[in-house]
Amino acid sequence: MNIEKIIDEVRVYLPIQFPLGVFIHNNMLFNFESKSFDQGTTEASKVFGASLTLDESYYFNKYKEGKITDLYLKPEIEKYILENNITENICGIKTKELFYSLMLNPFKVPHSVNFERNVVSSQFEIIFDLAKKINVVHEPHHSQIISKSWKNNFKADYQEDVDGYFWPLIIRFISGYLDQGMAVWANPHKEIGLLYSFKEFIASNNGMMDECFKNLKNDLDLIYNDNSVSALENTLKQIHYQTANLEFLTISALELRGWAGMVQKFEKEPYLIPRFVSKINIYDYLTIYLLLEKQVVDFLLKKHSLNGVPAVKHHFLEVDLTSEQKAYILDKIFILFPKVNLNFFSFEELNTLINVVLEFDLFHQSMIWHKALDYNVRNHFLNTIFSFNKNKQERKNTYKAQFLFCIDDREESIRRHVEESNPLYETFGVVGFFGLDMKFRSIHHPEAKDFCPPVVTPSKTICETHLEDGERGDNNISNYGKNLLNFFYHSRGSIGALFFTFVSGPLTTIILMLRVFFPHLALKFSHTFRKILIGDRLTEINFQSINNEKSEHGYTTSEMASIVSTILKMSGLTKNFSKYIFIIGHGSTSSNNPFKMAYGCGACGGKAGIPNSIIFCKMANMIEVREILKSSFYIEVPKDTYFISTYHDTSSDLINIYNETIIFSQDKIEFREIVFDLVQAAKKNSLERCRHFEKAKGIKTPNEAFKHVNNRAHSLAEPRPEYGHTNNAFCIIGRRELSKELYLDRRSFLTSYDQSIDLDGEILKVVMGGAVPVAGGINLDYYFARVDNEKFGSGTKLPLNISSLLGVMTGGCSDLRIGLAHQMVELHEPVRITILIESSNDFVLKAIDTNQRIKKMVTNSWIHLATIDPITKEIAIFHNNEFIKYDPININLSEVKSSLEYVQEKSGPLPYVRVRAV
Amino acid sequence: MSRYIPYLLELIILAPLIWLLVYSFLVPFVKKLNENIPIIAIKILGILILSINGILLFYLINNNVSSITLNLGQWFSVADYNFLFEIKYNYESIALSFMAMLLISVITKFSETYLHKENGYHRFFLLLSLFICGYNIVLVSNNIDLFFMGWEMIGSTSVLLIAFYYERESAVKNSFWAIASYRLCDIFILVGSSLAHFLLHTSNFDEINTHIIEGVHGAYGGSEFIFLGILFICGSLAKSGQFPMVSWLIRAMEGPTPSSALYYGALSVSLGPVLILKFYPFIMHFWQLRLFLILIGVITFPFAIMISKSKSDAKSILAFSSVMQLSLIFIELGLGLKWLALFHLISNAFVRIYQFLRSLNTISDFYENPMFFRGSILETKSPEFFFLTKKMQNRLYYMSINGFGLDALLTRFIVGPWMSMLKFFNEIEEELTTKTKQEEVDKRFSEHEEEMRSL
Repeated sequence: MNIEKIIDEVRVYLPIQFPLGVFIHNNMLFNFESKSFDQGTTEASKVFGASLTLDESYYFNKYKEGKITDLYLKPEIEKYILENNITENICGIKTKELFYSLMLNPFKVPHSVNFERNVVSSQFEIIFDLAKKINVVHEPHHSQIISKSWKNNFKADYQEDVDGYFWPLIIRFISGYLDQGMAVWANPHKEIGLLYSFKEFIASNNGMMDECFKNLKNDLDLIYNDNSVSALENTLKQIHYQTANLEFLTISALELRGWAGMVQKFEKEPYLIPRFVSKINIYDYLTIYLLLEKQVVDFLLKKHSLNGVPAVKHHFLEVDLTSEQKAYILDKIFILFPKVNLNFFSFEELNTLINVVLEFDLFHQSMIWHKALDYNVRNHFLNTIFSFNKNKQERKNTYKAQFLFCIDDREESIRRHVEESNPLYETFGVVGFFGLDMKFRSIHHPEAKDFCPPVVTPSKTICETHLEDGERGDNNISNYGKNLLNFFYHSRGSIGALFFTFVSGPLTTIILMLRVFFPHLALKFSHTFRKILIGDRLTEINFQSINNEKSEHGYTTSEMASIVSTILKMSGLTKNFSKYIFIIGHGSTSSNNPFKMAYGCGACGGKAGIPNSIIFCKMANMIEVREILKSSFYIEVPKDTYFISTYHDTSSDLINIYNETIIFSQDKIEFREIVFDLVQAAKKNSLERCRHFEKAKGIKTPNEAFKHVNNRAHSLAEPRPEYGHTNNAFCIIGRRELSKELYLDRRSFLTSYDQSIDLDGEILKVVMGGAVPVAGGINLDYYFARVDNEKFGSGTKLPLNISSLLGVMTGGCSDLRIGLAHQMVELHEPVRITILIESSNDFVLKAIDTNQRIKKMVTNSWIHLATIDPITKEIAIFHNNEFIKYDPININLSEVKSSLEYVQEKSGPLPYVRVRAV
Repeated sequence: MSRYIPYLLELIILAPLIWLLVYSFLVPFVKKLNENIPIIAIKILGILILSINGILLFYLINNNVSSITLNLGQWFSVADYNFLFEIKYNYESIALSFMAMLLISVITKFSETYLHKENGYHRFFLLLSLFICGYNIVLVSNNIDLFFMGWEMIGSTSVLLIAFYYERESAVKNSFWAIASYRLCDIFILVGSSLAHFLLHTSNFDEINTHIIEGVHGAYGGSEFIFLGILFICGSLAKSGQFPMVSWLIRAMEGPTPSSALYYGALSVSLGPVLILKFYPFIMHFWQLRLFLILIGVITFPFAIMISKSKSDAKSILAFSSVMQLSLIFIELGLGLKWLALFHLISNAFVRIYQFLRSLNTISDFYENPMFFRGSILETKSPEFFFLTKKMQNRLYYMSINGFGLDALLTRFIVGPWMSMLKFFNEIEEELTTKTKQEEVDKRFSEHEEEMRSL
């Protein structure tokens, strides 16, 4: 078979993660999205050896707390019975009842039963006599077959770790080759090719390698070819211990899948790599991997005088049951169903009973639990929204101020606090790049970076320049950067380090003490220091195109107007403008955090959305733009309305205002009052977040909480600067009135959309195209990282080690870890996201049809989709390509006076309530 | 005041020891032990030891003496050998103890939040407490026996912290590299201490130093003592990662960041010079030993600098730059620049620990750097090798990626034979224990059952 075709099939399984510096949340199993969720995840779990659920004790606790109810558990059990063709009745017990009781009283059959120590029923002796007579023929279930690969057999039979021989070598080599500037010494052959470089490597180290690589040089010379494909073909011909087919290549590529995935990124999407795009392809990588593996296998075969690698064995578990074990199972059933007289039934029937119970193991139970949780969370949410919306709410005619936040679930709480502080404040949610499809070049980063979501291709490059003394300013900044880099390299492995260590020892002592004991003070010092070095010069952002001509470096007035009008229409803010409209971009501060980009604004490509907010406000404040808005888009923004660019830091809860100077002096007092309210809301927001932090116990006032989260954000020693998108589970696309005054526990993305101004469904397409892939990607990233943090995540943060500036390794030499770290997702409840859209079904169907990604995600149920009719408030759920009416159950939502009062000193997820500010 | 000095000295050793005992009882027996307990205790210990250091420093300066020596008692005695708790306190130990306690309190403060909620939180602080004990013992001990006790305490905590995440196979494997290297060099120290007993009938550092210098035991010539000195210098190589005991350090970065910082950035690697400082007058007496020290430094220096330059992961780079500095410290010691070496040691410890602790920030540091994306100015050069041709530089790069084959060398000549010997013994043992194996299997099953019942 054609090797290139095989490799193309292998590529599908490689991870899609970008280098951590440009990390963007996405579905870990992006490549499996063309299959249905169940099918895709099952396949992925087999390929990666990953688990798809948490321990069943997690769900059991949820059941005890009432988070999973029988209403959803029982149908899942029935579905399982149907899908697996299990008889409905066994020994007079209904199977579904049997399973239900088993799930609530889980047990595992012990390997040897000790009568005295196991709690048994009074009937045990009778049952034991019975059990002795049954001859159980137990067919091992598919999940109980553990196929052991030949490598495992090497380990088990000969105590030889095949990977241990060559992994360190290949990891060191590859990480050096892909290095982005971590090492002072770069690989000299980055431009020529991986295989060539490897050849040089082997030639340079001839005779200095481990014993097992004695023949490596000869073998390499044999297979070496300038063409990577033929080199791999040559290598495959030499593989004698396995058949070189698709399966074998897939397994080989996935063994170090982090590195292999990164190789693929370098090969296929080199524009993502900031620097040093080493010439590399997956063929070269596989060639080297297999070549080294072959050397080790040859060496081991010779060492143990074997003819071939140990064959793959199938280990069967629990095939032969002892009478004691059988009795144990029957006895457990008897305890659960004391009325059933086991003596009445034939041995065959008892045999089936035992078999069915055995097959219904914890693995299957967890799957059922998990699905029940998933549907329970979704439907409870829909019920809540239904019950909440019985009384219609409408927009007011006048507002004191309006706030446009990002759709991010982390902004849900601060929006609530803003609204609670004054009923005349209105909030909206729009995608946080505010429609600006741009690359932005700030004075501090001479290279333009994308400030828009990855699905949008930037059309403009906007630059920030110094207003005065520009040349010196630029020089200062580049010198500062150069010095920092020189400092980095020369303070480590270099002769310069000798002098540096001498001179800076005492100074570092002070810095170290400051940064560890007083992180906030240290931050102030470093800011001052930076200011002294760089200087504090005025800058401006050149977002207008020169002479209003179309160009790559600026927007024309009409383009600006269309951006502003789109955002206003998307948010539903086309009338009843207030005097102050805050455009709030967000970002996140954290220190010592390799996953920093995962905390930023997803819509701005993981960065802070400050430039977007500033530019948007400048546009919206322009008189020309407002005129076009009025004439061509029929949006009349009052003359005295200010658009105010604002920044909210989701981790330190800092609020920054950037264009306060445009406010006329007679409005200043009123404006300051509103800003004060916003800052207070942010502080309340910190207090609400503090309930998840164990170290923040005892914090009672917003000010203390603000201090606490501030220290968290700047502390070097904090692996949890914030809990990020933890517990995200919903995305509401609709008017704020749908969920205003509803406490959603920071679980919901909130996207504004008003169908009444969307006549043809075009706006919905834009809104969905922005919000759904972002929210879905974030949700699935958290979902998979939570269910199996070792396989779909990076594991614990503490031993992580930055490698090649691309990613993290655990310890000194391991695979490049992919996915989120344990500390980020530890509190997450892994459920699929429910997208609830306040719109008519045909609009939604039309929007789905135009966006392939959303269509894939929705039709294959990677995300749940539901609609709520804006007028009738009927809820429908998308299932099998159509909307099915959902019968909501009315819930009595309890009422609280304020969210703060409700959340204080409570931990864990809280029930949704109505917040009625008095 | 001098009346209380002995008590203060005792306190330096006893206070950590008492805390260690209390804590090691608390950890296994108290379920859900409060996370703040070790933090408070280590803070108190830190303040206590730091203030004792201050008082002693004041005392030394005030009374114009260079050291305080003391015998705290005797553990046991066999024939004419006594295991004595002999203590000596001088300016060097004050300086080093001051540094160690400062760093440990930094690490404690750091780990308080860093290891919060982590499995093995108390295990970490237990090992840290053991480390504090060991380090103080090493610093103040005045004989080889007591010194070796502290030395081993540190060695074992180092190994256990490398294997902190023992679920990971590679972590456990790499911890074996560390323990093997430590053991190998410990042999030199043990042989050296027996030889010292044999030649000089003492294990007291002061006595060894003065006896050798003054030639009290005139029966032996210089060569025996040079051999003795070489043994002790060799004993110090593994802990400091000097040539040829380099390869374990490549594998030691498996534990949580603060432990890597404390051990391989700062304190554990500085133990080599500490041992040499104990024998400083004796080593200075022989030019051969000084030359040997300088030689080790001179060989290690290019090794460390090249490996550090070619490594592409944050922690290994730092560990090797630390090794590089230590090789310079060895040279300084060989040249007789004791105080310079001491200053260098302390400076290095602080710098490395700081760089280690913020090593996870590297990605943001680079991406936020204005010059990062301008690749051209970053074409990193190695000015040290300007005299080599491009081809030779390339070759050096590839060789340093491979760690100059030291791994292979060690595997072939030391680890390999050692492992085959162990395997041989293992086979014998297995033959003898096949019977008990079955019982063990049964026991495992019943444990499993217990687990099930608790579920």
